[in-house]
Amino acid sequence: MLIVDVKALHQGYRGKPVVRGVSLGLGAGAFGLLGPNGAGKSTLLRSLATVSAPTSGTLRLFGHDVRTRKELRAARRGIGYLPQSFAHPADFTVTDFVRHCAWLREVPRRDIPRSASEAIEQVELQSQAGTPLRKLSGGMRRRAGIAQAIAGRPALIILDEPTTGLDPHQRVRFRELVRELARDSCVLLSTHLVEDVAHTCARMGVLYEGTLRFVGPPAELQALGTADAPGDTPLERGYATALGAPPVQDRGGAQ
Amino acid sequence: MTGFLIEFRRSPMRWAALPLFAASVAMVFFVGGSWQGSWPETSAATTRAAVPLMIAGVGLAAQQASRLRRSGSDLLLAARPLPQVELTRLAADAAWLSLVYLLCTVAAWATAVGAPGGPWLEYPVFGLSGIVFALALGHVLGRLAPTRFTGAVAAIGGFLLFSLVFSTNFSPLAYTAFYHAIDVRLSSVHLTWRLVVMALALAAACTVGRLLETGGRRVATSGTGAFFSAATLIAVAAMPGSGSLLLADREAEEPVCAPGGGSSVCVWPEHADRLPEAVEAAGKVARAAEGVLPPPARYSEHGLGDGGTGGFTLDHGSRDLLHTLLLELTDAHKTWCEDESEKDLQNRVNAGLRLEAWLEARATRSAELPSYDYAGDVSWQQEVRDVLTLPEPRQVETATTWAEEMRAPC
Amino acid sequence: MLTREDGAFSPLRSHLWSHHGVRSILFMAGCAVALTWWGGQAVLFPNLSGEEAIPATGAAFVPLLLGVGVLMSTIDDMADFSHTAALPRRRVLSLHLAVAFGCATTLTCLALFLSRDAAAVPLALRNLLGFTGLSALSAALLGPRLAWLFPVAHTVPTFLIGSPGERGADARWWEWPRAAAENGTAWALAVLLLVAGTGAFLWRAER
Repeated sequence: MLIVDVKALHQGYRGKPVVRGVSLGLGAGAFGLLGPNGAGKSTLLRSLATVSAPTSGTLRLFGHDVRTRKELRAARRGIGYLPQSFAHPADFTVTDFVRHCAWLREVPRRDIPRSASEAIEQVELQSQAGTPLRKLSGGMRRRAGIAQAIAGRPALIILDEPTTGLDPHQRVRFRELVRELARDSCVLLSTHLVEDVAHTCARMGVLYEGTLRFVGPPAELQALGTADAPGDTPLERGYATALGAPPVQDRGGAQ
Repeated sequence: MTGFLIEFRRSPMRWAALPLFAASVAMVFFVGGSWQGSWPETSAATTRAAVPLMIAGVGLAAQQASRLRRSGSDLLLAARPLPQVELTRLAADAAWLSLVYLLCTVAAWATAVGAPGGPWLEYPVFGLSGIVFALALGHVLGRLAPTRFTGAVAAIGGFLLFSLVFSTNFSPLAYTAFYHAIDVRLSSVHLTWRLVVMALALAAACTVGRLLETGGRRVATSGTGAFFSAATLIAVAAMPGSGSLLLADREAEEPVCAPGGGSSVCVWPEHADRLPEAVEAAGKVARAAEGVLPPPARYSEHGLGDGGTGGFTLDHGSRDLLHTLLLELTDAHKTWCEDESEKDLQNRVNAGLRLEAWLEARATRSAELPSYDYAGDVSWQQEVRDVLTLPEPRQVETATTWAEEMRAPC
Repeated sequence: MLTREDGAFSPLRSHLWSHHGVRSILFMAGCAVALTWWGGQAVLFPNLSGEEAIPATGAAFVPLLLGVGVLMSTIDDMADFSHTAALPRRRVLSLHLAVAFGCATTLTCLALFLSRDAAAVPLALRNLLGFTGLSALSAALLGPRLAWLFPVAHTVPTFLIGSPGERGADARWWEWPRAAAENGTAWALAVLLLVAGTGAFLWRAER
């Protein structure tokens, strides 16, 4: 069964169409979403995270049609979502924050402390677990955000630009974490950094002007690149070439 | 201008505009219609529309400033000087609330279209200056006490403070500025003071941010904010008070007159269209007083006369018009003695009261006496009721006796 | 030593913390202190229409603050996550509103009993119902941070141009906060506002 099953999804932002007919099928594994600024990556991820209902098209998560309240609730139990930016109570410590998010996701109450501790360890914030979020650096806060998204090991982890603000060591560590999580879960991440996707994702998509221009493994994207395309690496040239390609519809899911 | 347009488009006032428009319209139109139909009274009524805008303006500005302060985005590094940024933000907020206020003003003025004269423009200026002052005050409050409740407390606390000090001598507001008769006008002294306070508050709001900066820059630049804040407080403390300075008597202009009831009936130029109403009432009074009292040479509207009862009024219905005309008539014949015994004075007063009640009953063609509340001994009322049942010649005879008692020499 | 980091998780504590529950309770307690002080004493509000000024009691006015406080207590600093929570936000908010309203009611009664104005309790409770409803309507349309706007926009004309007569005997329908405690229309309006306001607020709470 597909974890994410999207058909002809349209989504607008403030009355303007942003995502225009995206079809995508995802199972367990890591999927990277690339695209320039304003391509619609965050809007698409917000739709998949059920923040906003699609304008049209169908969205099924874990087989649940999320249009009804009951199905939506069941689906949300399995989604861990890191928004591009988020507010938090100034005095919440990392532990408070991760536990609260786990509670919102209806992680069983007795499991919350353990799940939160594990998630905090996975992002290497154990020594800051009792520190208020407002006292953390931007990168550490981002890691706390990742921790809340992975606490309780949800089946679908959606990370919107997770590597923003992370130092080189933490970016490498993050890639390892994604690979580890992708063994059991579907990890969907958006980024501007081609190498993040190349090192972590078995499949990737290129979104441009609200439509998918490429869906497939990184090697395929690399092969797509023409010699005259802009970019320093074959993958970057493939990415640049994909932006000019016609829209594609993904009906896959095998990763 | 671009900065202003950006701030205008994202000002939180845009969400509040519609409910505040409803409240402002209610403040003007939910009050009985005596203010409608003449420019002076309509202009005074429009100032009521500014009250909800001022109260909500304090709260909204406090809330916005408080939110910016808590998020830390108020002190973001910008090439443009901070006061300029603050001023642009305040100007955008003021533009929204002013728009609401001016719409209400236009709606109110629409009821006076066709009436003689024109709108009194200092009244919208009075209202607008209040709105800008409220926004500046709210901005300072939000900057100094940033909490999630600052907006609500500023608005509701501001409303309470306004209500409690309003009609006291501490009030910087003219309690009659929101409704007043045709014979007074907002004084230029008060308006100037108000504009000065507004300008100082605005300057304080734009510079108070400097007080919150830390480090060496604060020492160098916080003086301006402190100066304007102190100057505003001093200006508020040095207000003209709620006495006559706030509303000044109008200079008696060339009145509009017409013959009526054997006299000349004169009204303010803005009431020229209501002169026939006054002439007709003067005729009724003259008929009622026929054979008892001769009419005065001139009946003047309130504020146009030179002493006496101050003139008749047109704003409170036909009954009040007749009553005030009658007082004008009897007043011209009253004798005021400096040294008179209490008893003689009481007799003279009672004779006047009897005569006025009898005249009013006849002028209104009603057997009922006017329902004014009189203090003290009111047994004379029964006497008047009895007289009203007598044949006409006997009534005139008795009324003539009262008139003579009333105007008897000292 | 058992710290909050390794102790058991308390959803109630976490919810209260993310909603600044202590500050909201302190705000309402402050309002209750004001109500105890003001209570049933009549204070003359000016009448900007030129008619006779009619006094109003703290029991009529202070519920405005308490009603606003109830709705402002729902401001959620974790809103970015609450809105996508599996835990139904509508259910959490219903419970939150019920408890906050209960606190406001208890504080109102306590304040009026302490100020020996128990007779004013029905009036205060009716206005608490109505102002909570108006605040909820404001919060539904403009967000909980602006929950005070509709109640203030309604209160200004009501208290400054209204002519409800002695003890609210002649109050017109829109002057319901100043109407007598026995006025059935005022009660009906207050209840209607509460139902419509909280209904709209809870409806808007979910995606």
